Amino acid sequence: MSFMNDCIAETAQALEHIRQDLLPELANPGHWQERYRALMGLARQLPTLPEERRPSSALIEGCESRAWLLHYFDSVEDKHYFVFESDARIVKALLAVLLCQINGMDNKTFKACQLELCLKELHLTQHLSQSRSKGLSSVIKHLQQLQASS
Amino acid sequence: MAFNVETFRQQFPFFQANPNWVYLDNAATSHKPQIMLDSLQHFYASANSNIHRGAHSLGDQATQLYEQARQHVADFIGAEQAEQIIFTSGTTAALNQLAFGLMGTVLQPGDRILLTTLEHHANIVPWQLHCQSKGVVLDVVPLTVDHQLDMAAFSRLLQHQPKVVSFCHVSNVLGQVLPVADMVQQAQAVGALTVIDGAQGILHDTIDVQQLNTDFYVFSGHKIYGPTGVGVLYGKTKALECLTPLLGGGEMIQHVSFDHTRYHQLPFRLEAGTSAIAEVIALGTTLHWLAKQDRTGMRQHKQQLLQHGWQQLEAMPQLELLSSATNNAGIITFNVRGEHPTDVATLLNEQKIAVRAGQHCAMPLFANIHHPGAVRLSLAAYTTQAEVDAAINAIRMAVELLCPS
Ligand SMILES: Cc1ncc(COP(=O)(O)O)c(C=O)c1O
Repeated sequence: MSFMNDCIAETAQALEHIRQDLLPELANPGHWQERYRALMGLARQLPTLPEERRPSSALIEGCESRAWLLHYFDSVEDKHYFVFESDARIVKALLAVLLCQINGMDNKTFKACQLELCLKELHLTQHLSQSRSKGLSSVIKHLQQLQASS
Repeated sequence: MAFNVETFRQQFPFFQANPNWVYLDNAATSHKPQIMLDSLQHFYASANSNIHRGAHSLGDQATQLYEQARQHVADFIGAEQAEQIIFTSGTTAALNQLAFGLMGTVLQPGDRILLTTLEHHANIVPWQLHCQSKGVVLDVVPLTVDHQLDMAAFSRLLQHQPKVVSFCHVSNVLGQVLPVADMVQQAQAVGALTVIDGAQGILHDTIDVQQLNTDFYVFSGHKIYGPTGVGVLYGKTKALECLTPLLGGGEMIQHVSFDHTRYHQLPFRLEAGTSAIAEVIALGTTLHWLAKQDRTGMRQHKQQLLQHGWQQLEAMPQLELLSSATNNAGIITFNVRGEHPTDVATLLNEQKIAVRAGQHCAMPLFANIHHPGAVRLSLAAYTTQAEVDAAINAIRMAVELLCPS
């Protein structure tokens, strides 16, 4: 379990850095190359989840590339944490953009959070091909189920 | 006179409507020449009627156009008789008709079918659907280490005496052209019926089914400048007679009572229901037009583009090319090392380069070559060198973004 604890902590740290320092850059949509350079850089900040830590139960259905999402709720601290991986760099980056806005939330805030807005505000979805957006909507659906059951 | 790509391209209005796009997804579907669009428009606007129902002469006229299209298709592939051309909704439907229609007539429990690792799902799943319940066994020809079909294994597997051998003419993933004439000959020597999935092959080469001597050849209209919703199942008369109809309904019967139904003769027996009449006629028109084009020049042009693109991509160390430069109908399949193909396609899409990424409906092939998928550039006769160059520059940009040095 300590490996996962480290992974949760590392992910949380990276996501916090992304939220504070990198998101503002992304929110000003410059040239498309700049946006992707920023996204790639952002994906590199995150720890890699080794193959054996990617259970098929965490696989998000509906993505063209594979994406895994693990969720932890720390009931003592009242905080939601996420760990994730994808074999496609852009997907991993988009997951980071989404999850850095909700990682570490307390349960009440998490349940009330409007997930679709998290991406829309960043002007990202309009630039994604339909299949990519579909994958992202599956992630959002998955998170909404978590919201409902938390 | 040499083939002129600009003159040819001008006949396709899509390019005028989308001047900013580079379309290199031709293996998925081709664009449409004006003559095909005119044919569709003309039929619906001026000649629309159902066919083979004879009470009025409008219907006769539509029937005549429809049967003329059958003749055009027969001429295009060198069939002996127009009755050997069955119109289906596409390659997939044709292969489903074959798999269903041969079970129980040609294929008995314990019999074997031989396929290849290169097949599209459309030439795998229809057979699989029946194999288990009918006790029929599938064998698969493997690839060599350099992704070529293992012809030695093909010959070896034929010794199991399959009743049906079904293979693609051209691989939709690698562009590889199979030695179909040789394969037909070997398969027939052990008494098998041969099926060729010509979805990609039909556009590559001039087909003469009699010379090929194959029992069946199938293809889709939409990949050869024709409309969607129509395809062709060619068969030798004797082979077609082995088929149990997949679809029952109107137009395919001579007499129906609740006790017994007597089928019509070919080709109607295998064309139940109202066909895609306008699309069939437009496909006939398209193939009649295509037969008059400089097909050798078109093929040479495509080969030139292929070599041109190949040399530049091969020089990029970040790329791994999966298809081969020789014996290739015009498909370049590659991966950026360490990157997922869908990421590459997303970055190409940003630059208005239309390619396909993924497993291209050929999962067993990708499992075999150990890649999660690939990016596919597929060329057509209307593709220009400027488009290939634009795609290559866009790939360079994608590589730079994905793996900054
Ligand atoms: C080799 C091959 N076979 C079969 C098919 C299926 O064709 P359709 O979808 O037109 O039925 C395709 C289409 O991609 C193909 O490339």
